[in-house]
This record gives sequence, structure tokens and C-alpha cells, in this order.
Amino acid sequence: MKRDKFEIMHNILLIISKNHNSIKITPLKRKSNLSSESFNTYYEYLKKNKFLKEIVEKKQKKFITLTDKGYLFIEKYNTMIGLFDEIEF
Amino acid sequence: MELCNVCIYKELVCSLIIVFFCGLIYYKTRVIYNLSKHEPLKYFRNAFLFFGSAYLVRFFLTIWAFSNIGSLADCIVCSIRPLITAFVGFFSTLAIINIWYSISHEKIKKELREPAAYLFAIVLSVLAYFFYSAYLIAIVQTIMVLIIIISMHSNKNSKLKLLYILMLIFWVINLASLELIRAVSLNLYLVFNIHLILSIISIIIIIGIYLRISKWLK
Repeated sequence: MKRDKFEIMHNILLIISKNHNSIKITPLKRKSNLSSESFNTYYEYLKKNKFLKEIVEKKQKKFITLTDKGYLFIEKYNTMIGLFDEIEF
Repeated sequence: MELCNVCIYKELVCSLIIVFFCGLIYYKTRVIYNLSKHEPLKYFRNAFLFFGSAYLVRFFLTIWAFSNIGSLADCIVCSIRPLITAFVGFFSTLAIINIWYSISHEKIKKELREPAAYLFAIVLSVLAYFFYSAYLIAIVQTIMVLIIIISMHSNKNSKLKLLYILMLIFWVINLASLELIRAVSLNLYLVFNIHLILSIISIIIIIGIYLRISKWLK
């Protein structure tokens, strides 16, 4: 089933949130159920727009975490979809 | 006979209420827009920003329409009336275009949308300025409203769609009525009260739109 852009963004952010707000990119890609190309597109968009950020820990391990904006997106997601549904015909 | 002060205050209150609710819609949707950058929402918000501006400037046009030339102040208002008409035309045209974009944005290339909207609005306002008439604006906007109504073909039976249509129709009627007052020279108080009723209906419609979307803005 084709998912819309916001649903996919929400799904990716929710995966990070449910993983104690710290996940590596490979398991995130796997759990998102997206093709490599699609995932990279969404991931770059989310990073560029500061919904998530990368943290490099010891031994150069890179983890992905949510920003405040990312949390707000998750919180407002249902409201957002409801509003879009209301104003679009 | 000059228009009474109470009438002016009534018009001011109506205009401010509409401006307030238009501003409220624009302000309350900012968080969701900042998160999503959703194009239809952007145009939806812009429509109410421009409508609020149009109603604010239209207040001055209304006061002119219901005043008689006589005093120095009236002469000053008279000299800037074409400019006020142009601004009303500019803001209201942009509002109507943005409503159209919010429901049909994919029909025009993204990079052309705003330049085309501003160009059209400027041309219409300049013509209204030189022809000294809000009739021209009302006629063109009537055609635009008809195009929007045709564009709203959808299986979705939405109350918001109906409110949009009513809002646009009442705006155009209200605008045309300002020119009719000057042209026909009917009893000023009678016509003013009719105009006031149109404004009150517009308030109800805009509040209806706000209430319709406010359940999603908590």
C-alpha cells in the first residue's frame, strides 16, 4: 500500500522514539520498510529540516536521535492529517 | 446628510472582527505549517492573511462610500479613494487566488504560482486605480469565484467547501455594493444597513471556517 509523505516521516520518527531515542541507521532503515533510495531521501530531508540529528559516540559509532522538532511532529501528526483532510477537497 | 458616527463604529467593529478571525486562522496554523511545509496549507493561510488585509483597507473605502463630499477631510479621503480601491483589489485578488491554489495548486508550476498571482493582482489593482472603480474588481473576482466553484469538483461533501464559496460570494457582493451606493444615491442609512447585514453574514461565515478548522488546532 502506498504511504503518503507525512505518514512515512511520522513512521521513521516514531521508530526512533520507540527505540529509546537512539538508533543506528541500518536498523532504522530496516524497520522503516522502505527501499534504500526512498529511505535516504526521507532521511536526508528529516536531517536537513532538523527533525532528527546524528550523534557520534565513542569509537565513531553514529546514532540517530530526535530533536524537539521531531518530537513535536510526532505529537502533532494526527492533528496535521486531520487539518489537511479538512482543507483539501 | 453625513453618515452618523454610530454607523462608522458599527462598520469598524465588523471589519475588526473579520480581521481578527482571519489573523487568528493565520496565526493558529503556523505550527503545523512550520512542521509540514504543506503547500495547500500555505495557500490556505495566505488567503486569510490577504482577506484580513483586504477587509481592513475596505473599511476606509466603506467610510468614503457612505460619506458626502463637503469637508476638507472628505476631500482628502476622496483624493486617496482610488488608491484605497487599488489596495482592496490587490489584497482581495491575492486572497482569492490563494484559495484557488490551496485546492488546485498542482495545476500551475510551483515557480510560477506566486509571480503569476502578484502580477495579476497588481494589473487588476492598477486598472481599478485608473478607472476609479471597484466594479471592475468585483466583475473580475466574480469570474475568479466561478472558476473556483467549478474547480471544487470532488466526491467529498465538505462543509468547508460551502463556507469557502459563501465567503467569496459575500465578499464580491459586498465590494460591488460599495460602488452601487455611490451610483444609485439611495437612502444612505437604508443602504448602509444592508451593507452591514452583508458584513455580519461575512463574519458568521469566517467564524464558521475558524470553528471548522479549530478542532484540529488544539
